[in-house]
Amino acid sequence: MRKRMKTTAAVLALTLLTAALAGCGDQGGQSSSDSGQSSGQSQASNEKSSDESQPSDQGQPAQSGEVHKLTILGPDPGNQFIKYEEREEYEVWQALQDMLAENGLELEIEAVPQDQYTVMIQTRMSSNSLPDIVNVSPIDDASLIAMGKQGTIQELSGLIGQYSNGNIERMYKEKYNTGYPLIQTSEGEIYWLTNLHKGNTYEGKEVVQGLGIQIRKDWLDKANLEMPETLEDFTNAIHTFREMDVNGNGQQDEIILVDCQTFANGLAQVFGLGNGIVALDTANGKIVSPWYQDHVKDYFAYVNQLIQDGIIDSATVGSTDLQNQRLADNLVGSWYAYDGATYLDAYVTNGTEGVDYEPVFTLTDAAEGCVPWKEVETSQLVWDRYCITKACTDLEGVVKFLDMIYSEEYSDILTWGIEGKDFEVRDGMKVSLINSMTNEEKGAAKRSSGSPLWGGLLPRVQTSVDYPTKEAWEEQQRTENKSELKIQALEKSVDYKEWCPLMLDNFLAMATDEENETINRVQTGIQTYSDELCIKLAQGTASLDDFDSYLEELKELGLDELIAVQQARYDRFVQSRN
Amino acid sequence: MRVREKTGRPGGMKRKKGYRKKVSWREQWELMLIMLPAFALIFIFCYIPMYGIVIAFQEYVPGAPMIAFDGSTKWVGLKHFMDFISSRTFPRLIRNTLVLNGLNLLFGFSIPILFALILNEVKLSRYKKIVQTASYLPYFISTVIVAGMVLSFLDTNGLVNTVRKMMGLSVKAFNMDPKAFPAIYTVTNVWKSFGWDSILYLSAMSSIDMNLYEAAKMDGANRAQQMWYITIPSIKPTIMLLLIFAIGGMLGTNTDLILLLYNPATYETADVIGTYVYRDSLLGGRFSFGTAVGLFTSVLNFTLVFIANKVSAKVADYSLW
Amino acid sequence: MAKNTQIKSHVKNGSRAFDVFCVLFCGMVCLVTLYPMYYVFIMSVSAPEAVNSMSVFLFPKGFQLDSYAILFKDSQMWRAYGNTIIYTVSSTLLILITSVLGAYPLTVSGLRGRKFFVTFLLIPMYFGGGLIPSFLLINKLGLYATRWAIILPSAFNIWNMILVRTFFSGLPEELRESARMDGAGHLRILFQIFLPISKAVLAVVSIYSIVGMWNSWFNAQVYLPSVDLQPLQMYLKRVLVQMSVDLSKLNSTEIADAVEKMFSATQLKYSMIIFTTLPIIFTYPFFQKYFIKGVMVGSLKG
Repeated sequence: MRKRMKTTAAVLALTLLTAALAGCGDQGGQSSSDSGQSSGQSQASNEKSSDESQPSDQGQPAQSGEVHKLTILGPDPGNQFIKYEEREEYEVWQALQDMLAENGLELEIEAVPQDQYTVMIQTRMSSNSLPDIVNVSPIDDASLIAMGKQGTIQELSGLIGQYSNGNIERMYKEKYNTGYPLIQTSEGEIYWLTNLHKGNTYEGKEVVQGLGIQIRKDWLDKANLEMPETLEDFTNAIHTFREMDVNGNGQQDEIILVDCQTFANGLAQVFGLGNGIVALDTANGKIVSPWYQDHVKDYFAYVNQLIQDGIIDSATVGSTDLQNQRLADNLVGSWYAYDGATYLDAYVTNGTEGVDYEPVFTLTDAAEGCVPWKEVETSQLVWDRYCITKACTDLEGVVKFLDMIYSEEYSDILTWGIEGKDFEVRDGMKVSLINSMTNEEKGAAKRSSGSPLWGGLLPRVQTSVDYPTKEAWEEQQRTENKSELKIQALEKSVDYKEWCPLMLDNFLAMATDEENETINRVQTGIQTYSDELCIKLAQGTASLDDFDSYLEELKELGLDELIAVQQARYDRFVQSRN
Repeated sequence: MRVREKTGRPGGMKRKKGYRKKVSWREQWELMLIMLPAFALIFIFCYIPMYGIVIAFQEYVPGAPMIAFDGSTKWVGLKHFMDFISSRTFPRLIRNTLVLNGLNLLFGFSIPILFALILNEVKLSRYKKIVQTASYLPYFISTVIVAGMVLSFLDTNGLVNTVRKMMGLSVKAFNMDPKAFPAIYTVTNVWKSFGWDSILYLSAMSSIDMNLYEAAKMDGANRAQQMWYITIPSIKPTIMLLLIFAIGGMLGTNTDLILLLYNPATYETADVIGTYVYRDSLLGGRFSFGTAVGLFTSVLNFTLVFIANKVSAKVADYSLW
Repeated sequence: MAKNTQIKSHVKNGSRAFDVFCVLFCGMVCLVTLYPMYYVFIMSVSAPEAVNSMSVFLFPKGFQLDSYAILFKDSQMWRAYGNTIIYTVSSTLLILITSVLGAYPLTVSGLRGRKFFVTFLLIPMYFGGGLIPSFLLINKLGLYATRWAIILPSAFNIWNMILVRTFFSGLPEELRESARMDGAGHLRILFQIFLPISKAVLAVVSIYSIVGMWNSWFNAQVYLPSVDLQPLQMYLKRVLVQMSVDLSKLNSTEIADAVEKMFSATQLKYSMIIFTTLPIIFTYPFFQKYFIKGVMVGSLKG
């Protein structure tokens, strides 16, 4: 009997002890983990200061010459080699600190690992322990506007007008002239600022990043074929690969990878189709859906034929693992990627030498009277969202911070690093001295630009170089290991007229409440149906003869409404841009 | 059988229906104090946050107050429910959910019992331990890896197709065939959890009185009869308990596994409520909708538990409460 | 006499055949379940190229322990390991206590409001307020970003309570009655009479709690923003998630980094599975002795 009591007592004691240790250990953990400005402690001080929401507690009274203390919450960029935890060892971080000090700013940064950021931000935004500035990218536009109307985040245009020294406006209106329409609501309010990116230009033309089919140049060489220019050339090439067993393993297993469940796979664009359930026909300023376009049936017939021939291995659809496996085994003759991408070759890990994927740019004559489209990532990009929460009382300080971000100096250290060490200015153009190093080397040498180190925590404003001549730009591209064919493909994209943007959202003004209503209601249903139908038509389990009934179903699901809504948004975008 | 009464009924059967003498207030107080730590924790961490259910009836955004009387919450009543039920994919979602769960119930419920029964009969103790440990290993392999393995086995040059080739059959892309999906899902699910699920049954079997078996042997019962008349009835309460809860899970699925195994080609049989809500949530800002769907399935599940309990009380004399 | 012998040998033969069948069946089960674990193991020690081509089936191809080396050197992983052990031990002990305390009164047949209490237990299993109210609660209690945010909500488990209750209900009423006649209070009955004979169910509850806590990551994801306090599963998830980034959603400035991360994580995931799973697999054998047939019953008599 007594033994039982003793055991019970022992168990209870043990539990309490463990729990107490756990609690205590956590205190120790907090204080020892803090090197500089992350997590635990700043969180605690955050809660204290923001819960009070007394102006006297937070920051200093708004006078120039005073130091403004601001708290920021954002995702840890999580770069493998250039680690945020080691930021104190990087000169470029020091440069950032100097810049902040110059502007009278002090930042307390809370960095949360990226993979849990989405969940975390949704819950934090509903609580009262908010920092001054937050990266709210995982939350969608409509929710943010609602939060703005409710007061959780602050409206910015008034603040900018009142305190800004003009940097922000300059960036959004002059340098990145597509910026403002994308962050203003239909009533002209601004609730968040974004990352801005502008690509290089040469001779005044913006260099864009095209996407499309990349084919194995080394296999073409082995088969004595030229780079395919028409669809027929391409079909011929991929069949020849298989027939002559160009990968030399004794089996006719050469395939190509095409993502059949979507229209964004390079091949659909060859048939003049858009790159999503709705897409922008930029040449005509119209929102269209591939389902209504001219050659959609020809496209499916073609893909179906390739699947029948076994050239497209349909088992790979939807499974990255299997796709990677095919690539690793040196089976893939063509694939879809950015035209300038140089990383594709690294996927082949079975020891083959001379692997060389090169972009095709586009293929003509897919069908009678067919004009191929090119999917393009425009030079100017707007993405991510940073907003100011209701917890921020030092409004002047915050705008000063934003002015600093949207300035040339910050943009330089973010994109390039430190002048003289990481980049140089030659003939009026910026030339990077560290771009040829791999990330691993950069991490070891502790030299880097700001972007991989803290990008995402603070807004990214990425500048580029304006090359006076095409040749100068080409030189630069060659130092980045881009082959001639890739450079040519990039050049062709600059002048190509029939293109559709990769990021449709960069061309749509913000939706009104009713428009959001419609989008939320119909989007998932249409996407599900469209994805399924794409695969079924490709596989042949759905017949092209019943195409009209499919269109009927899409109409029932609301495709026309969706097109109308996106068209209205596009029109508004164009208006406010001009 | 008197032997049985003496050593007790290993289960939770009701003893007397009808009137039960109530305890004294002092005893009541004593008992409630004993319950207090556990129930207090449940109250704090389960009941207090329950008010969040109301966002199913609102258009909620993070930061908005969930319950306010000044008009700052946007109530939309049953809108989300109606949106969900009247959407064109709804019938398919319900059908797939029920089918996949039905299969899981049929196989995933009976196999652990079968396995436990057979393992219980094995006398070699070391062998038994090895088999037992091996059987629950799959439970620990994370779903992501399991799905990767399954896809690679079903691949056109994977294990299954290699065997098919050897038998002279054509190579088939199983992961693209909607007809194959329910089988793939069920087999994977059962394989992953049967060992783990059998632990409870084995534990219940271990407390059966050996004398019962002796007595039965002397009456001439063979092994199968012993199993049927002694082992199974002895673990009946456990079986009923788990069965009731399994039925109460008919509208939830192992969504993670489905997300990893499916693709648009198999939506027809693979798209369930959980996966649809997941894709929808990627649009962003769909808090209220997700909660509404969750509430919808919870209500249905709870109803099922209730019904299952009543049936179990009548038929098998076992009831939760 | 003769008849008896006949019957006995009949039973014996049938019994032997049955035994053989059982052994074979279990052997098959063993193969089917051992192979995948074996597969994970050989993937973790094979050369990266073989892993990428998924050509490893029966034997490892190329032998390397690099991925394990990377793991061992990563101090973050050891910290996560330590955290998981802390969480697992504390939550298991707490769950054992709360399950037993919560379940016992529900088995006293005269308890007033018994139906109410059982319903009170069942409702949270089906209805919950969702992520945000729970978060607000944890925040309000001041538990955010501390270990308690993980330990306290895991200090109880309703399913385990129901299991214990089911088990207690099956114990003979005579035990309790005779103890009360001796003047024992309920607490004493619980600890001195019920608990000692409940080893089987307590073992089950322990295993469920240990494994449940070992595998859990959701609470950590929401309530622990800093890596120091995070458990092992979060560490594992981080690597696995990095591998499945949807490349089509990134713009050209982000894609090169994402691809790099993806490549490096491929091999690591297998070694991580082995490393993080091994300890937990061995908890069951530890508890197995409570499950052996016939061990328990002796104490029930008299």
